[in-house]
Amino acid sequence: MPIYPTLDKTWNFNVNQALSAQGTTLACNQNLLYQIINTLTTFSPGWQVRGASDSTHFGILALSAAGPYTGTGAWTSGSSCVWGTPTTAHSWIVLRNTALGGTYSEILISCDSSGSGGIFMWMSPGSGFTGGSTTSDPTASDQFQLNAGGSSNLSYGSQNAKVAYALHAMMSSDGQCTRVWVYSTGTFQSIWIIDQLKNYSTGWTTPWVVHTDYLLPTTGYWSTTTAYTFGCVNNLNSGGYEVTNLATQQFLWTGEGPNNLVTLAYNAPNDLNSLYPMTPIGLYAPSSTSPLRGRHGMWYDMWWGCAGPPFPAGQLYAGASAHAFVQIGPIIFPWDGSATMNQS
Amino acid sequence: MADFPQLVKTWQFNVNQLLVETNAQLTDARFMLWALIDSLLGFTSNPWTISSSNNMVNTTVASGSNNVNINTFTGSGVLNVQSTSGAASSGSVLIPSLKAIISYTGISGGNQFTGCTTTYGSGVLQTSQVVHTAPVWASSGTAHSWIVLSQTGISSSFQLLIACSSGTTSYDLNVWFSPSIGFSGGSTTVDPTASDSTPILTNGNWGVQSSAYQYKLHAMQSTDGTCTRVLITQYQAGSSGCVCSGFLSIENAENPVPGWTYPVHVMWLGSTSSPVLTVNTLYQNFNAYSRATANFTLIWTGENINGTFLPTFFLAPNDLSGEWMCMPIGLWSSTVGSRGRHGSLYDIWWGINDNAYPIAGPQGVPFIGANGNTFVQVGALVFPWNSTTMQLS
Repeated sequence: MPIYPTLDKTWNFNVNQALSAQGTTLACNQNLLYQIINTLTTFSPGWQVRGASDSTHFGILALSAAGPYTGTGAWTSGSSCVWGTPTTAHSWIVLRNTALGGTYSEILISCDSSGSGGIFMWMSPGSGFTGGSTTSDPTASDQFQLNAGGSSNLSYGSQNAKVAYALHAMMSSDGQCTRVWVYSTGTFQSIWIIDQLKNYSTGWTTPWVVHTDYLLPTTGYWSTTTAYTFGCVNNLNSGGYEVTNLATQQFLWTGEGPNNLVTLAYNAPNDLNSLYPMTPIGLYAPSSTSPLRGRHGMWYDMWWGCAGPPFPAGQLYAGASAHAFVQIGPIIFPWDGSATMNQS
Repeated sequence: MADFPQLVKTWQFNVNQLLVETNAQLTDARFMLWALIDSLLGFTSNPWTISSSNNMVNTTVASGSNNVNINTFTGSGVLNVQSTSGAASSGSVLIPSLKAIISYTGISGGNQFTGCTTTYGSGVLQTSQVVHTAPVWASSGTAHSWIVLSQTGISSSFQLLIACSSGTTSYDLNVWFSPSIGFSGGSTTVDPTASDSTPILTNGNWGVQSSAYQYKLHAMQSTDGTCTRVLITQYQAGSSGCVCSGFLSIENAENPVPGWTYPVHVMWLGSTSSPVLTVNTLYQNFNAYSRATANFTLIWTGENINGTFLPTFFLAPNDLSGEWMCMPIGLWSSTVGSRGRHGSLYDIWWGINDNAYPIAGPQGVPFIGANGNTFVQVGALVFPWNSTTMQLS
């Protein structure tokens, strides 16, 4: 009899959202970004808009003011998303999630890029964003830029083409964990994971992490077995922040295994019980990023899945109920029981 | 505030046992083998028992020899014991409490060793002192010692066979276990067999030197009998320092997968002088054994980053918490027919591989836990401990 993990969290789902192709590439991109934000703010509890710019107007609430922000510049449709270089008019939005543990735990998403295929994202673990204008982004004293550890913009799943998208989002009912991923033309495009960690290190005052990952044409992160060795494990795509030391941190994902992951060591069910393994995922800050080195916690309700035989994208697993889990690339997530995962 | 693991089992300890060098390798090995077995037999809760043996007599001094000084055994002495059953017609006996060895030329009446000569040690015999026949090493087909031990805490018929059939090198042993059927047969020259026997050591080092040496012996067992661990430690001059040269681990797995009917894991790592509790022996090589429908080997798993083992990644405490890592240990097999991750081990953890001992890890480093010295790190592993200072040699 199969054995499935007992979930730590209860989850709210808004998955299998079909975003039809728009008339232009820009319109497709605008619609996708807007729908992602709209999904995050629709969860209850969910993310709260604290401020926004639509490139012609902007506004942002005082840190201690009640929200959400609904004034001028608030995003109301895809057309609110306007891209422009940092000193020219562009859109941005600040979202707050107090369940993450900081006083003002917030993320800033900015369209300060000349092309609409990418965005920039910052996290403020506890201080919150203030300021900004239609041509400049708000800032926070503890802000940390999230873009795969580099200066390039960050994917939100856009293919930069006139295509349809499938948008999937889930958020724990306590608000501490958010996951959003995008498929298009049958292929994984991007994922954001914004979670407070499980069993985090003592001394980490704002133990939440943002992980962003996306499809690379040459290596297919998260879409094939290369994700195990190149997607999560080797790349510092997960960012966190420790307030006391005013230091940022990037993490590697860990897993159990004999010299590598169990899920890679043998790409088949266990010979004795005929079950595929699901193993927990830890987060480790490597020694190159002092002063926050060490193993600092693990993700809630996420597991390494088996690398093979090659599963179809969106492989579903039963649980206590049918279709209780879904595998995307190397990772297994809880699922809402839908019989398929839309890959558009 | 430091966080320590919560123990799943309660533990009983017989640690820091000193085995003084006797100036003879064979004698040292004989005392060590019996000290190890006596440790297993001596636990208060669910001790191991002897099921059968050949020339491995476990008896005590009888009243007829009470208060006899063994220096009177000069060729015609008589040692009165409770039983000589199973003893060879001539040989030697060990008196562990006196660290004495006495040769004999005959047995009489089922309770006397005759023609006794004290060849090592001194002291006065007391009733109820333990007496063992000295194990004899010889190749199979020639008279040699063997013993079958049982532990019902693991399974109703779990047995361990220790045989001195490895030729005349007493730093080697042959060892098997039977998870559920038990050993039968055997003779003075042939080891017993079991249809489900699984080899653990085949003419393999079991932890003692090839020359005379002094050791410390440490044994621990869960009170339910499901987990037994024995460590043999010694001092090596130079960079190795104090090392664990022998490690016996016999334990039921935690959270075993369905289909592993008798989920017992057995490992006996041994060397004459090198550390055995290393990442290489445990994490990178299949040195543990078990059996489902057929025998299979196991490797100990741990948390890693694309193959880089966390205990070897950053050799210092966590920057945020200031704490050293203790990480759980899983079990994984690549033996065809038994492939997969099959469970984990109770109350044992990977510790950080310290800079000073990049291969062996630190030796005998205590961790406080809820009480003082509640845990100890030996090599790459952290064990529960009885709050004493671990003595290594």
